[in-house]
Amino acid sequence: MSICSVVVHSRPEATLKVSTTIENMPHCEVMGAENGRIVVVIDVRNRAVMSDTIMALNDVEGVVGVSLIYEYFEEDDELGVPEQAAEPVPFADGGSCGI
Amino acid sequence: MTMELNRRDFIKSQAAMAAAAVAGISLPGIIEAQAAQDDPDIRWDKAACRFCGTGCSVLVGVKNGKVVATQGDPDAPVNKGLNCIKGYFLTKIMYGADRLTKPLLRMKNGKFDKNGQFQEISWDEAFKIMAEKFVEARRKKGPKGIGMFGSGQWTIWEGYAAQKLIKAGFRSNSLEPNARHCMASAVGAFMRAFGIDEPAGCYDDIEATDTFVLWGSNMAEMHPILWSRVTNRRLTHDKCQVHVLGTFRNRCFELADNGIIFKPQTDLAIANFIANYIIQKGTYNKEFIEKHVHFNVTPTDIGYGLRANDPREKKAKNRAKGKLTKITFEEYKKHVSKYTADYVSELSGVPKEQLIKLAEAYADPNRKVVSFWTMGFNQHTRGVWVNGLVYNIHLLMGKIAEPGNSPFSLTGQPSACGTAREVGTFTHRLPADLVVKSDAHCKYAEKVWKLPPGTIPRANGKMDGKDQPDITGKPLGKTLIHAVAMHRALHDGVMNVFWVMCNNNLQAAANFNNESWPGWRNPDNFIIVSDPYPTVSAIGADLILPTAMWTEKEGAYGNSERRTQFWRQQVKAPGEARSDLWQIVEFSKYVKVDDVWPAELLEKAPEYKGKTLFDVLYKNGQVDKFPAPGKVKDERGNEYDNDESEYFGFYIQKGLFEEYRIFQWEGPKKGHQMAPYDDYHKVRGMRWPVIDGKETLWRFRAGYDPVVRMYKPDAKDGEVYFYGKKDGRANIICAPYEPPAEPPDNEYDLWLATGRVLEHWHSGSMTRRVPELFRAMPYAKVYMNKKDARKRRLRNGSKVKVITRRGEIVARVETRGRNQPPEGLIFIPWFDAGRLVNKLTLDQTDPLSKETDYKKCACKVVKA
Repeated sequence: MSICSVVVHSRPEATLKVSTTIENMPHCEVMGAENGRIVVVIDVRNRAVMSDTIMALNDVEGVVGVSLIYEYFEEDDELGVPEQAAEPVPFADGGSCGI
Repeated sequence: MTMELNRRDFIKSQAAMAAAAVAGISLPGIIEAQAAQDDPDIRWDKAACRFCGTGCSVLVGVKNGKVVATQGDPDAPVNKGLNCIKGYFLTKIMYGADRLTKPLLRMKNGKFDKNGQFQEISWDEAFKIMAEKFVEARRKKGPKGIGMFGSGQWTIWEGYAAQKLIKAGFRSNSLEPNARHCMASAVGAFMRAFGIDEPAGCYDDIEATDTFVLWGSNMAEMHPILWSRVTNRRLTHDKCQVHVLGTFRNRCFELADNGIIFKPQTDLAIANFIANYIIQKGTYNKEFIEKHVHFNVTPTDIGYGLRANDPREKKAKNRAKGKLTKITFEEYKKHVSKYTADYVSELSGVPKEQLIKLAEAYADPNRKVVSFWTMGFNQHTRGVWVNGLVYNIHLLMGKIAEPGNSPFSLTGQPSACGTAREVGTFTHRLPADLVVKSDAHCKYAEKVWKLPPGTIPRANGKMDGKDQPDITGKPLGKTLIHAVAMHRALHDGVMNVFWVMCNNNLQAAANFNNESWPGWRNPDNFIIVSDPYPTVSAIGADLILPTAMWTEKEGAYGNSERRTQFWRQQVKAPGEARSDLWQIVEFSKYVKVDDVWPAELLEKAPEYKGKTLFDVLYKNGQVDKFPAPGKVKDERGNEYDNDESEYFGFYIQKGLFEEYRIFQWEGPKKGHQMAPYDDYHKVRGMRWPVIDGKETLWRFRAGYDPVVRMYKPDAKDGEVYFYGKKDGRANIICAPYEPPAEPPDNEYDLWLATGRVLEHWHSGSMTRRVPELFRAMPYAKVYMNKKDARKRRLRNGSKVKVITRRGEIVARVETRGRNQPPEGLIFIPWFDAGRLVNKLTLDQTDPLSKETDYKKCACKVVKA
């Protein structure tokens, strides 16, 4: 289970437009929006998709800033193999540190 | 509905409510009702963030012994419920797949071998070989034969315990923090200008000012939470201006009213131009400078902190000299008069209008100004000078030590201030701004630590004018050795044992190929690295010690605004990983005083004969004064472990902190006072000096800072007194523009600047193990101007070789990224262990602060 919440800031007059755009984005749920502040909950098991989704919020037109507020992550067996840390070893990325 | 769905909805409502509270908006009643129930499975508690020097507080949620949730702490004055992306994924840093859980020694045929493979050993075996190597090197080579390289990420008591172990136990001043690479220039300038370290102001200045000037600081990426406060001020205060200075365009320029790109090193000239502009215009604060300021000049042509045989050092007239000479205001005025708009515009490449707009913001007596800076200023071969030049401007105008007027040096590490600077884990320092240069300071420290006079090595090896004896049979001699000199000493075989703890110095230090790497792999040397992960440094070591991190121990950090914050141990470390504190203190049991102290010294304290360093340093009746708490309890009845206290049998963190407080309250330098240990567990930090339970927001001004009246009892409210200096006056220090050490030429035709990115923290040893952050920014890129790319027939994404006189690396070009250099300069971040940018950098330092300049060397870029 992987859930997070963010506050998206927009110009006040763009609140509705931005929140509608976000509502239509995959995995995003707009829980409330007022005066340039939009509360979004993201619910997606795949952590890579989670980070892409958060990053994508920055690129929505009219967004001034994205602040992360709450995060929950739990590996649950029912959902199969948990997401593995991406290439944790510093030298496993094709580069060579030469030592 | 299944259980899973119920729980999912519940957590979603918790997440939504937390965000709504921060945003100040209301949510549908059903969500509120759902969220109002407490989750009985999760225990919540506060902790200071593990990353930058901002010092955000986060709430940490633990379930079944594992951290499962985090939330920006809504009660924290620093971050007010917000987190940045690194802070948000914070708890994942403890759960990387390759956590180290056993001590590992390079071995062949069952024995240590420098060229052997890493094999698991016990802690007992690890400490035995360490003790053997430490004692041997100390006896053979003297105080510089051993070294410890610690961290601005150490908790306060870890730094304090290390200070005692190396300076008093081993009688060596070979202790340095990685903060040497990031804060030393700031410290040098604070001491020269004010005689006491750390900023006069605090973050509350952000909401009180009219102007922000960023000098060599990419706050948007490196201090995102502070940047959100700056942004908010800019968007809600009509008069507010943001000036951003840099050698390339970064994210901060998005908000800038005046975005200034200058040629590397010419910040020295720009700052002098502002001073000249203010004086010419006549708006300087005459009363303030008459009452509170001295004018001085510093020696020039001081070299670049390179090895003594470098031609640039041989040429320098006043190599590493910094003794100030008093001058008059008229002489100062004359010195800066050459920095006219025409001259500085030509030198810096900045249009005159932009320079004047910037100068006008400072020169306007009715405009409040906060200056922020980080590594652009500190990692500078004239770092102490350039820090000082900004103090000059603020002091000329009297814009200091009051809300909204604040020259503010930001830190990069969570406890660069709290541990490295305040505890003084530098070669030349002792706790609370004391220095080993002063015989009196050393004697005071010896008294607090219940040690015979002469235990601590003086900078010059002399007590009361006489040579201090050493275990080698020779006098101690000169004892200071800074971070860069340590790598040189390893290279030259002068230092044979080096313990690196809580940092990644092999990746971080400049000139990897010619200094660091040969030094670490020198067959005469034994290198120990304590780390949670197999970093570049760990892999380059001979012995790796697995380390408990962050909330796996009880800890405390001190942030950029003098705020001291505590946290409790939340979870257990994996396997046999142990905290730095445990490692330092447990190791001290393996060395006897007689092994490292000469007979003459032991004569003065015969009761210590045959004792271990543990007995003398930590079981001294002070550090072991408080009984082990068993389970630590909070005010809500929750219980927490404290593994170190349980192991040693006394509340060791508290004992160390309370002994450290003696320096603050009874020592010769007032103004560093902190509150009792237990108080900090109840609050979201307090900014020192803390007097009568009250924190201090603005220092040096009566009415805000109670310490002022300890020095000047008749000071009226609002009166300024710089009590770090004997006569209460700060120093304006005249320093000119001088050229950089290695400018581009025909062959190496580009500037190379290195630095950080939003997603990764420093060398990436933690953040690169968080899948989300790794994915967002996997590899270091070469940020380059499109025209420079085109000239070299390169495109966005081209694979290139970056070459300097010292080495080369291969990476891909980015011409459209968030960092946009001007023609003639490239930027490469240093987080990537696969592309070690410090193979390229020059080990040039500020000759005064000994801090490396990572921002300026010459390189060329060719197609790979």
